[in-house]
Amino acid sequence: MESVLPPGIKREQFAALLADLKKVVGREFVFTDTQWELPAYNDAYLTTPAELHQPSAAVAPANVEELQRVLEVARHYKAPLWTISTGKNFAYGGPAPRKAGYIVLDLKRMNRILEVNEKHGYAVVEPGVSYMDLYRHLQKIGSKLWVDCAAPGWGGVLPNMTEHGVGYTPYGDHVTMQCGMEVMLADGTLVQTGMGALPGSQTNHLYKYGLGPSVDGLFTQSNFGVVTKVGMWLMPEPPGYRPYMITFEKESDLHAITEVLRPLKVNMLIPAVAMTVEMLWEAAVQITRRDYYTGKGPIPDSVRKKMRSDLKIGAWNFYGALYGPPPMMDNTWEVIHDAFASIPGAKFYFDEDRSKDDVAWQYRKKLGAGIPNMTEYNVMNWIPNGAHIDFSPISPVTGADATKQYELIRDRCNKAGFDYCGEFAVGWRDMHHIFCLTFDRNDAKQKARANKLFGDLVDAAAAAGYGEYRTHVDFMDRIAGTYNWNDSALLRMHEKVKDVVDPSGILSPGKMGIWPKSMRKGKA
Amino acid sequence: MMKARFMSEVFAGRCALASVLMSATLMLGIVGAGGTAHAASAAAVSPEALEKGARLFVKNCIMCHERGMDNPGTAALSYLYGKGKGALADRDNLTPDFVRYFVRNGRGLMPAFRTGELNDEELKVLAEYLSAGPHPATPEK
Repeated sequence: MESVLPPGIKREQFAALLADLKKVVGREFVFTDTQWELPAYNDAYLTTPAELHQPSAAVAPANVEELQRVLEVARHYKAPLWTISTGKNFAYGGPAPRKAGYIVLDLKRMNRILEVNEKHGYAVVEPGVSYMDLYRHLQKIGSKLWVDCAAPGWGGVLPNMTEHGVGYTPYGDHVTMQCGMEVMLADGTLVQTGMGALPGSQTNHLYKYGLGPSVDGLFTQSNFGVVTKVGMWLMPEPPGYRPYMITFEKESDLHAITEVLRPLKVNMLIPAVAMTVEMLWEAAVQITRRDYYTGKGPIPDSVRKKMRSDLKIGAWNFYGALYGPPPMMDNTWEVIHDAFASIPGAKFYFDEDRSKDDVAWQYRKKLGAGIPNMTEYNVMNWIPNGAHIDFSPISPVTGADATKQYELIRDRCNKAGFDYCGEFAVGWRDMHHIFCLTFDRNDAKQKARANKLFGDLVDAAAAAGYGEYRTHVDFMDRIAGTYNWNDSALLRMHEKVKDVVDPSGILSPGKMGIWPKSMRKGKA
Repeated sequence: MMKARFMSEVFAGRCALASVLMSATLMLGIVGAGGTAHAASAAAVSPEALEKGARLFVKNCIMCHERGMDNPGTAALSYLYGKGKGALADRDNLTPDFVRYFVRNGRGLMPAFRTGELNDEELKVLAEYLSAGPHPATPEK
């Protein structure tokens, strides 16, 4: 791999820039080796050529003081930085920058758990803290607080929240559970949001809004600053936890499942993020495609039927959990059971009904209790050299929308020669449809097909009124372009903010389609 | 060029164990899965280094490479090498260069690990630990 330069910076300037960065963080934390260091700062699951996202260097400050000086160097040279925290945002780009030549700002070394407040139920963490780090720490100190983690447990507590990620306990909406934020602006100013702006505040991590505009959201999925610290509310361990699974026989049951689910969610009888998982996702975490089918194209229905029988799963598989004192769980279960029992063929399972070797059940059971694990990555073992990118549109919680979305994606997916592998996650009044597009990372033609399919899905979803909640670096502009109401008024507002808070345009140019003036099309 | 050839062989898809062994052995002078040579025996690594290596293994690897098919790294290697041969802690034929290569470059579903999250000194200790395997006792998490 050949070395590249940051956009607009000449080789001698780049050498001086690196020398200045080394003065700030030390030689050992500026990375430029194209064989041993920089490959890991690209995305393992790209559908586009790696050269498009190859960084020129990476720099890893240890604290806010070093970060402040790194930003000073970047401003001086007008060098674009691409901020990552744990760098595990795979399926959405991982640590890879939006464009080649950026310098990756790696915050993994800022990995302190600054506070665990048992009484009020929160933790304060830096960007480099993973779910597993926090979980292990809570175990070590004997805390009775739970983590709410993303399915890949090596993900970061702070960055998953800033990417609008979700988990699987009642605290699954991570943005909702964030309270108190520290942000460094591009000019090096450190800002505490909300109650943290009050010196000596006692409620920095208890009340979200402070006085005046609530600005925390400006720093999620954005490039307006570098988030250096957040408070996250943690769920106290409940007196009881009883996860359950309900299987459904027919593909067309998705409509009825979603209709039954909506009132249960809106009325909070199902407190955790509710998952309706298509059979192939269930299969892919525990078997491989070649165990059942070696032909080309999507696996036939007859094969799907055999898998379902062998694995004791349905066409759709609903996962939820009861939390609380046993009498309360018993009462709630009666309501939930009766509601779903109205769907012919529904089968109900608790832990004692599923095998200890049932990989799908076991990892879902862990997720519902906030126990980090990596089992879901097994979906990539479905095919040799599997990699994936996730297409994730949002819709209302209705049977009609679920079915429409499912068919919209399934049909295009099958036509493109891929297996549909997806799930619906209902938060409260919204439904995330996660389509895990799995492809062979060593097959250039397949990658190109996956890339085209993804783009087609963006357009088809937008035409039907569905927007994505998050996306891969390769599709940020395209998806930002679908949020174009009133002559792209929202994007134009983002650009105005960007120009004010980061006039040098050094922070993550192009993140979610937001470009600094100097790199904007037409250079407004 | 050498690296490109090695990569293409290793990542060729459905690559047989023999080809992995052959390419790894030829290109890096190491022994891949199924071999018998040790680059670093447990006796050659100090107890302190082994303890530190075990800690690094738990911190960085075990989420994917613990024993059991619910761990994607173990499952991937089991599909490649055969059932029961996927857990890294059970391997008796890893070498430091082999470990270093895959940690820094990734393989299959495993993304590479950045120097910013696992530095070269730590990687050296981790590689020595794994090369001194097998480690029948699962390190404490």
